Amino acid sequence: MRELAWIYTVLFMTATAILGWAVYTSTQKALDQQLNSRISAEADDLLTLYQREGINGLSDEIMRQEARPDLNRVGFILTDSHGKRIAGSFPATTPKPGWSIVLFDDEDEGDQKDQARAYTQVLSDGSRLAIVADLESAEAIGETLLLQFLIAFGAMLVIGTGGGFLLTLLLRRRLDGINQAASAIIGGDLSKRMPVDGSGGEFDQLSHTLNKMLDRIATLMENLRQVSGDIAHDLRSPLNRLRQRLEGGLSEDLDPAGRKQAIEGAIGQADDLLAIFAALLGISEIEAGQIKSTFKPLRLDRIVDDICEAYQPAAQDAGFSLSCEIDSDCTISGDRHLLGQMLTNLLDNCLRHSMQGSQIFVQLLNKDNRVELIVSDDGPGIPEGRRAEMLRRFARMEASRTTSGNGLGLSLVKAIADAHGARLSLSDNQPGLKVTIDFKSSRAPIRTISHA
Amino acid sequence: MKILVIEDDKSTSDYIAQGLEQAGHLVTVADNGNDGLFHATDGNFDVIILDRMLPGIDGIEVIGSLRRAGSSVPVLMLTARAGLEDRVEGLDSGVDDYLVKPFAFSELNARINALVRRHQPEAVETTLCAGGIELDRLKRQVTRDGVMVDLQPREFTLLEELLRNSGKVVTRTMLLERVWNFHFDPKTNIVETHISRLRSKLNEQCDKDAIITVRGAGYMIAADV
Repeated sequence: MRELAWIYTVLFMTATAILGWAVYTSTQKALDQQLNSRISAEADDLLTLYQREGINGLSDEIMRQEARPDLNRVGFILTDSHGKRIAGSFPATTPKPGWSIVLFDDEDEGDQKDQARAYTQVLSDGSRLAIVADLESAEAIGETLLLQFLIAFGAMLVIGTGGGFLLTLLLRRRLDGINQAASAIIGGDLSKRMPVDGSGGEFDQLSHTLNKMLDRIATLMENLRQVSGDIAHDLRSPLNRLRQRLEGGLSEDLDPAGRKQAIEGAIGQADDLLAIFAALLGISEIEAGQIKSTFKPLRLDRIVDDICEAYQPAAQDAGFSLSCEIDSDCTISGDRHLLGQMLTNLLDNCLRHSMQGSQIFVQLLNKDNRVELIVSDDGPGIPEGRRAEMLRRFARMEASRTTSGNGLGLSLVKAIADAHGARLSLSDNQPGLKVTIDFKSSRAPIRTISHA
Repeated sequence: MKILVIEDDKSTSDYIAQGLEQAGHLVTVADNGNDGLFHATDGNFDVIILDRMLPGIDGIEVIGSLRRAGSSVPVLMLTARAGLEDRVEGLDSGVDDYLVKPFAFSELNARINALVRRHQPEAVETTLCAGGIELDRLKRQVTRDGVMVDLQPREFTLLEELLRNSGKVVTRTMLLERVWNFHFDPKTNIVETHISRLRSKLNEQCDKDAIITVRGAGYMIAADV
């Protein structure tokens, strides 16, 4: 954290230094240019004057200009061809022709010699005219600028470092909040949540996301507690019955045939229990969610068609009327094995819970980019208040407590639907139960086949 | 038959060995992959029962080595893993059938018998016959004692499977896999309902029941003696 602040400050300051230097040098250059232009302009003007009015006119002009109380004016040196001063009071010797730097004694500065820029021309009669401009003001500006930059730089250093530390402090505090909450949770308090201040900033979002994750974990743990409790509770009875059968098999009154029957009955019970465990394992595996990687695009219409056809005789024998309406070309991404299990579970449920002579209706609808599977019957149904509960493992309606079946059917259906990213909903078929499973389609729709 | 069982869990291997010996087979047991592979390549077995999870080299490697060595012995793999990809992986590696634990001995027995029969050299027959029933695969027609029997496509496939394994028991799970391609067991007994439909159609003109139900195991059509 601290390194970050330092790096940032260093980078920023380097950038500022470079920028400052650039500005400084360009300003200096500009000022130089300006000075040179002034000198050039003045030189041109005087040359013109000389050409018009000769050396005397020039000399007069110089005296006139020097009489003006203009502190910023240029200085003049006009000497004849022998070097004797004719006009101009600039306190320096005549410089060479062309551009040059001249040293002179400026009264204000004491002993130090000052610098000035000069442009010297040789006139047609041999005399020399030098226009000189004091570099003092330019220098002053330059110095001021440098000073300003140094002050700014220093300020930046202080502010940057200070700011960096302040930021670190704030971040540290925020992170500490999160760390503390995390420690509390690790320590076992699952109800703790990350601090949120409603600002909507990145840390807030992080806290929100972590909180959602914690909610999910809490749900899973609650699930786990509930399932363990349910399992212990609901498996006791079948295990008890198993024991009773076996115990009955030990009875002295039994003949070999009777004994055989008792053992066979016990085996049947044991098989039922094994089936329950297999289903539970299946549900766990599905919920653990590694499944998605094995999903392939498949034709749900073909699967539903196969199963409907397979169930026809069984439905008829049980006195039900099973009709199926299946749209063609319903492609979704999934696992054939699981989807088959899901549908057979639903049909098994219909056949088991409804009274004889009932209707079972299976529909597979190809909608815009969704595929909807609807299994409905006209049996007892599930009242609205109990629907969420019925999706849990081992849940049973009172009326069916004694019928065969282990109460895992709907929870398996839910687990498979969830694994496929499909939405499961239970509703009133008026009368009866209507189970709707809504999948995301993998392709575009075409239309219907139906058979009954 | 000479049967090799490669299984590290003693109670399972005892269970299998006992059942097979009682059925009159000669059983050899190996409790790890290396010994198992050694026996398999060395001995002359009719069928091998191979557990997937083994100490030493695992089941998939054993079958891999066996097949690479050129052996075409029928192999049934046992496993606690029921996932579909595990099954596909097993079958891809050269195994002939795959059975999930726990299983009933009758299931194991029926499958082994089916495996052995499949490996006997037979030309692809266009007609299957047994017990007076004749099934023509090409024409998709079935007759019993010369009289045409009108079957639905699924019933046809069901009968085909029973006839292919005539004289042997075919379990409900085997039928679910082979006729319907379902690798799960619905609670509703769809196999039974289809069998009863098939049965009543076949028995229309006859008083002898074409299909025998073997309690606790499965169904069978008696072979011609």
